[in-house]
Amino acid sequence: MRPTQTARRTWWLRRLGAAAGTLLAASVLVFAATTLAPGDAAAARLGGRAGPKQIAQLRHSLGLDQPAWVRYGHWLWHALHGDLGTSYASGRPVSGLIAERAGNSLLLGAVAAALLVPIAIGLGLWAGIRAGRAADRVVSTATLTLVSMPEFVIGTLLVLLFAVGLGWLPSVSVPSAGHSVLTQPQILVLPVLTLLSVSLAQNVRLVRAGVIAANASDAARTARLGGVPEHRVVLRWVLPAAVVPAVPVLARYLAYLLGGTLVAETLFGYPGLAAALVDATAARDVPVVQGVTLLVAAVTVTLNLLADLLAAALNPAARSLS
Amino acid sequence: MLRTIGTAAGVVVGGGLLAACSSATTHSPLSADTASASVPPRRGGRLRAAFAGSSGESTNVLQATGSAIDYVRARLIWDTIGEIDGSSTTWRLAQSVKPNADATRWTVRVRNGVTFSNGRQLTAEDVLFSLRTLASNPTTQSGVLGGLDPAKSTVRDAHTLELQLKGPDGFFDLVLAQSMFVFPDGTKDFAHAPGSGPFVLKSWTGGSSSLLVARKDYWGSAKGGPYLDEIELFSVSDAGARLNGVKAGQFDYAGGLTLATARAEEKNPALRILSAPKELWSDLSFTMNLGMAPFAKPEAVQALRLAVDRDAMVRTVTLGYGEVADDALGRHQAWYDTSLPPRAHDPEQARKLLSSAGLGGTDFSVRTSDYEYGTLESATAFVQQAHAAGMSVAVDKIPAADYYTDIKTLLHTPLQTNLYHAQPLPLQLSLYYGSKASYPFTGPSNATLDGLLTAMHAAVGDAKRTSAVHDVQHYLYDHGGDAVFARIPPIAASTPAVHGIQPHGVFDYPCLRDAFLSS
Amino acid sequence: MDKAAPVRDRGKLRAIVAGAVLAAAVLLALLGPLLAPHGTGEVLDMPYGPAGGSTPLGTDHLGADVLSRFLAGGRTLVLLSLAALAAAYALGASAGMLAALRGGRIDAVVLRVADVLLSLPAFLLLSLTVVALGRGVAGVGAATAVVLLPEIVRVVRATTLQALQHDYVEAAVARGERTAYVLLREVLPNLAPVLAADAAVRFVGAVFVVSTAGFLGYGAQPPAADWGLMVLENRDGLSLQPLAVAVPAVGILVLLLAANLLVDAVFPAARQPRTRRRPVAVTADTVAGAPVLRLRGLTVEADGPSGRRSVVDGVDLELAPGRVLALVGPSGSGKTTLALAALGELSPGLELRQGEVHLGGLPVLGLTERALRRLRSRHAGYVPQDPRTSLAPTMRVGDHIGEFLRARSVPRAQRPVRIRSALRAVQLPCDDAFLRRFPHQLSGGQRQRVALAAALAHRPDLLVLDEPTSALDPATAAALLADIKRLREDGGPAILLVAHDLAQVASVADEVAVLDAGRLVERGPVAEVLARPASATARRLVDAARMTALPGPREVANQADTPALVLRGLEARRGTRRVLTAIDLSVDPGGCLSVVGPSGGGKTTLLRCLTGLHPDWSGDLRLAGAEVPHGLRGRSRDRLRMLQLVPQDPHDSLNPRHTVGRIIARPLSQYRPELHAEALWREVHQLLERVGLAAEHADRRPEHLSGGQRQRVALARALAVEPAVLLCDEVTSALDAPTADTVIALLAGLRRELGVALVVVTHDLTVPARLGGQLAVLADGRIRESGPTDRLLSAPTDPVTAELLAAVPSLPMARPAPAGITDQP
Repeated sequence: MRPTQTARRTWWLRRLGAAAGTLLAASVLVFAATTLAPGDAAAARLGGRAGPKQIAQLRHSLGLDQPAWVRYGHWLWHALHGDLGTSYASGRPVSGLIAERAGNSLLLGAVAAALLVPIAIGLGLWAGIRAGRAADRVVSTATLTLVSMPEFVIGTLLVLLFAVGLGWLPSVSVPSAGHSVLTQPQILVLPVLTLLSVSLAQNVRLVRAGVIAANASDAARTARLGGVPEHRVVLRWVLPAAVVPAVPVLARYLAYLLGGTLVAETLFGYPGLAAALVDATAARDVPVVQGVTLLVAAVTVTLNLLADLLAAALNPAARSLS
Repeated sequence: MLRTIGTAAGVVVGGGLLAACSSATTHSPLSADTASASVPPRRGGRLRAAFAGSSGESTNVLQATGSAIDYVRARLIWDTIGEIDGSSTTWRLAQSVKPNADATRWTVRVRNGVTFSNGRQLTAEDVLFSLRTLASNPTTQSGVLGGLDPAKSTVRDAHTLELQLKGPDGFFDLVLAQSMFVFPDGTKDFAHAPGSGPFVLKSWTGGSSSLLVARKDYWGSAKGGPYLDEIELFSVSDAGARLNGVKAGQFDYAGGLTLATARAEEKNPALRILSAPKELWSDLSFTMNLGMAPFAKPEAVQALRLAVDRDAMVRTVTLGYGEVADDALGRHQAWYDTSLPPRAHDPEQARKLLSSAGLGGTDFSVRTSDYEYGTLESATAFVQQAHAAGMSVAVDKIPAADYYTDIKTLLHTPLQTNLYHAQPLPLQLSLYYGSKASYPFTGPSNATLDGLLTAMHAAVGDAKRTSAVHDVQHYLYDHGGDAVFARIPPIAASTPAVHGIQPHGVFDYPCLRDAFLSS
Repeated sequence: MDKAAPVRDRGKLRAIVAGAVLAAAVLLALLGPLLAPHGTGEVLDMPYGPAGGSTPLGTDHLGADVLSRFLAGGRTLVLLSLAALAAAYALGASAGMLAALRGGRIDAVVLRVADVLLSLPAFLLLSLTVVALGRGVAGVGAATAVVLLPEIVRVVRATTLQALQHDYVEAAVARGERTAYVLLREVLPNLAPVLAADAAVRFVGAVFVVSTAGFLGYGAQPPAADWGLMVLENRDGLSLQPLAVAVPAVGILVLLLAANLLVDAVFPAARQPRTRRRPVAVTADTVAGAPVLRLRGLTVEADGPSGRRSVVDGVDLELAPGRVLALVGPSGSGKTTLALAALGELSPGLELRQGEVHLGGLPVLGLTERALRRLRSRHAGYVPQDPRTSLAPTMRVGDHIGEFLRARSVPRAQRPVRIRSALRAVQLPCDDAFLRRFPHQLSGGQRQRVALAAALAHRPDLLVLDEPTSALDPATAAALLADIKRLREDGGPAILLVAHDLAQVASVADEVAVLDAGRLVERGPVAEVLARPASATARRLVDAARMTALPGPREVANQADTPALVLRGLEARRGTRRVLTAIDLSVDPGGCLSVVGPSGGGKTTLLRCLTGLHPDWSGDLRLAGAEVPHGLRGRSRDRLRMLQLVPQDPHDSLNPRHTVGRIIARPLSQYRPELHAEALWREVHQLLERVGLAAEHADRRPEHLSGGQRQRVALARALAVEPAVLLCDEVTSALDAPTADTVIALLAGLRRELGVALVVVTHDLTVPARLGGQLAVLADGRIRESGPTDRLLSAPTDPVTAELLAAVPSLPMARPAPAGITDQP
């Protein structure tokens, strides 16, 4: 086995081991936080709807009267066998609930990501090359304003303008029964715009800064002095140098987009993972909280891993070092 | 503040006009479902309605009262034994309900010709099985079925059953009208239990939406719905989003909206703001625990009742839509004792009472939460009003998700806000007062009160029952721990084309059986 | 106000405006509650009442006055964000720095925790912390800190790792300073600007998280006022009373916009103003036989702080085809500006006052960008100075050269052949494997040759080389110059060679032009200028280039028996690789030992073993006869005093945040604590004078000193503790010839007057030639040869020494003295 292959294999083993460790740590952290909070699933479900006797009866039937570490052990043992347990609130299997919701969240995240990457790089490059000129000033002020507006402000304005005002788009992004979100794409438009508002602005600024730096770099100047035409300089010298540092940050934003987007889901009622997690946290529905956290953490860890691989692939110097 | 499923009687055939709001405000009256009386029902079409829901929804009939959307869906899939309209009961699957002489054994005649969605005929066995299952499981209905003795209740024949109670209860008919869903005998999988209701669940995605299709062979279609072909229920947790959905033409009806919506959308022609008949409004109260200082002293209770500026509360907390309440629950119900005098607002008298009881400088703390609209807002407003009566009051706010988690604290709090949902008065009184109460917020009971409550339960026949209730109300008016100060209307919104949506006892989770679209 | 200044001023203006707006927003937020006309919970009127009367902005959902709630709502947002930021920084910075400094287990644990927190999305952390700690201000504050923490730990750890690389940190560690001092005094002051920039961005992030938490109802609980919460609460009444939502939303927007503007203004991305060209029609193609390059009365001015100054002043220059002209002069004399002007390039901030440049007979200045590129692709080639940054890291060698051929519109089919021949012309392998290599897989010399190949591939008439060898070690530099010379002989292009070391270019150039302060002071054939330099600048350059051995050391009287430093049987290892084997060295008090060898031979590792910075070695080290432990930790304060390190890079050996006086006073006060302030400063001034600096240099910062002056301060710092042995690590390599010359003279002087022993590590043989004393040649981790310097230089026995000797460019001597080195008495 050539040395680089064993090196690469151990590198993979180390990263996967670290990922597993991270997921385990996350599950313990989440379980502790949810159990620490006052009250439990029985009181949350029947509080105000049935008497104290019924609440006690439900608590016993859900097994909430067992000590915390027994419940965690029970959950972990089943999780390792692929069974994430049943929701305390609805009694339905957690994996079913998560599958539905994850589909919606991943779809929303994927659409936002598919738009984020090309636009961020395209706009960043376009503005970066024209640094200081009118086009760049317009892009800079626009991104600056967008970066300074939290998502819920932008979302509220979008709903006011496009849904309630002009009536072009549905203001609530709930798919009609039996149909998947894909069959009604128009409900995705406003949540995606809200999601993209801030992350797109951040990344355009990042790529633009990268382009300006690469444009003024020694290598680019050497190419220009050697007579290489400007469009080639941009394509071969400026673009790769600007994109490489942006990749890990972009990957982190993808993780944010795919990992659940609470504000967009709350504002538009979109049935995603984030809303499910918030409902479950309020209802002290521990199995659902654990299930969603594991999935979201797994997605984030995978994307971070992907980001490192991508960064190494794009930036050969980094590859030989790692 | 109990979101108990209960209904105040109030027949809304043709929608009673909502009495004009109290004269102090300039708002146009909230239009209850007035238009539907004059519009002939139109068959066909699909109604799109949005209610509060969450990822924790389920189609399990035993958990139907878990969330708004679960309950609305359940009322379409399963029929109940009976419903409350105004202050009286309208029997659905029961033909008649008769008590014996001392109201310890009730005979129920089951309606003929009713079939479940799987074609099975409805029998007394199904009704008894349903009651036994609801009583033995941790459901909301089991709270009020405490008096039933399931073992001793028997089925006399295919359409008659005898219900034996543990003790005399003249109001057990009201209990049977508390959303007692009926499903076939021997059902195991309660999430897919067939129902005899007007609609059948065609498809369902938890936490997002469900589609129900009308049954052509529904037993009640002679006298009413279902008129629609389909009903689509959308689960939207945020009230603002539900409202925007109707305004953007995505929904036809949105339930559980806020009073602010009514104010904001009053003059919007594209929208109809709906509210409930007055007996279905909720009661806002400052509940004092008589077993705890300083309310062990009657002067303190009396002083607080005088310190509350009820008109100001109606103007600010209920945005002028509500009405004043006089320290007694269940106004506008037939059981309500209209002879109870209105409570005056007299901060000076309150100050004198407090100093005479040596409570001049005590600090009061009101425990409250923003679990539902009205409680926190009234506590905040009361801080200012109490100042005029020389009382220094602080607001102790508890996060909504944690309010019900600690029942023991709930029942041992000197002063807290309460939002009592509309419920038949006799059931409501026995739920909150007396030593057998499930939620004795006002502290331990006493012999006189227990005596009155037992007498109330023993009364048989409308005249005797009504006077027994009046006795309890009078006692509570003088010696109770509740300062019920205002009544707050629930709000919903719909497009002008929507008609026939009746609360049948619960406005926030209405019955869409007879709903139809006029265009 | 002339045109060039506004770019900088507009930036400053924007910073001031942004700062003012942010200050106003924060002040409003903090003082708001006091200005609020009504209490936050005070119910005034009907909810969503219109603006007017006692409620200028109307009422909100509670019926309370929107203006007072707005004024009170900012404070929690700003204070909570700042508190969370401070907590996150306190925890994050200390964890980051500790992890970087200690490394090993602590580093792994800190990174593991950061990874776990980073793997959970922000809102999940937020809701979990709030659930665990309960809602309200404390919960959100803690949650915000937890969300900010992982990024801060990573940024601080990365910057600290970078800071630790600096020589001044290693020098402090070598002095035996404690970790706390190193972190707080040496690292933290330099970390401050990075953390400040990061903090500004984090503040925006913190406000984001806190306002979103408010919106979700996690934060301040009603009836308290909070801008995020106000947007949530009043959304229902949006169409009735939009101000209740708009006002807090605008508040958040203004606060964040000001913060972002300030961040942008204070730390702008490199905004590079582009020089606009005035398009001029391009005349006919090259005129055959005309000079390749003609400059007429070229004057270029720059806009300095003290107004306009000319960088190039009225220069006339011509370069005939095939000739090599060396452009020499002290740094800052305008050599590079002139060379670039030949290619029609004016770096930003420079303004062409008058004069013209003709390349291949065509006027170059004033062409459109496209025409200029086409002209360059046909006529010009350029090789920059620093091989590390001249090649795009993401492009393979073959593609790089191919691009220049493509610019010359060489058809695709012919390119591979042309690429291979270009590589062969510069002595580089031209097989496929080499063509597929990336720049980081090449050595410095190879990279410079690839740049040369790319410049020659399209057969230009003019080749401009901007100090091609200054970043290379002598052996590689000599080989590159030899190749350039061969190019000339095969009838290659005319070459304009910019250099600051006359000795190096003497063997290559036909003519030499000397520049001083932008003016051409002398021009003529190389031999003539070297023999009889007319101008003062030229004379100084020639002398520096000459190798004049300094008077040898008076062999110090007391041939004391115990040598100052003895090293026996040193075996050093780096990871699994063995770096040094069987090293034996010794130097007498007042003696001088030079250690010479090619780069990568183990010289630096040897020094690090001696100072204890590199503990992983075996062998025996004695200072003045006393045994010394290998690692730093075991060494007593006295042992540490006897051995002092003078780092290589003058720009990196002094802590930029400290003044010169403080840099010298620190070791002094440690070594002689009895000195109180008065005596301490007198001692510092004495040390400054001893190293040839003046007393008033004491309160200057390193950035105001030249390279040579900084090297002297480093020496003064080392001498403060009266060491027995001075370890000098390549002290001359970063200096230009004249300055290096003076530093070596100073070292020799110190040896004589103070009797301190010198161990000088260098790759430049001219240094031992001047210092005399003992010489050891170190290559591939072994001592190849050692003995008196003059014996080794005149009669080298080991091939490595001979090779090093050959690399030293010798000057054609006008004076009769024989070529080579004379050891003048």
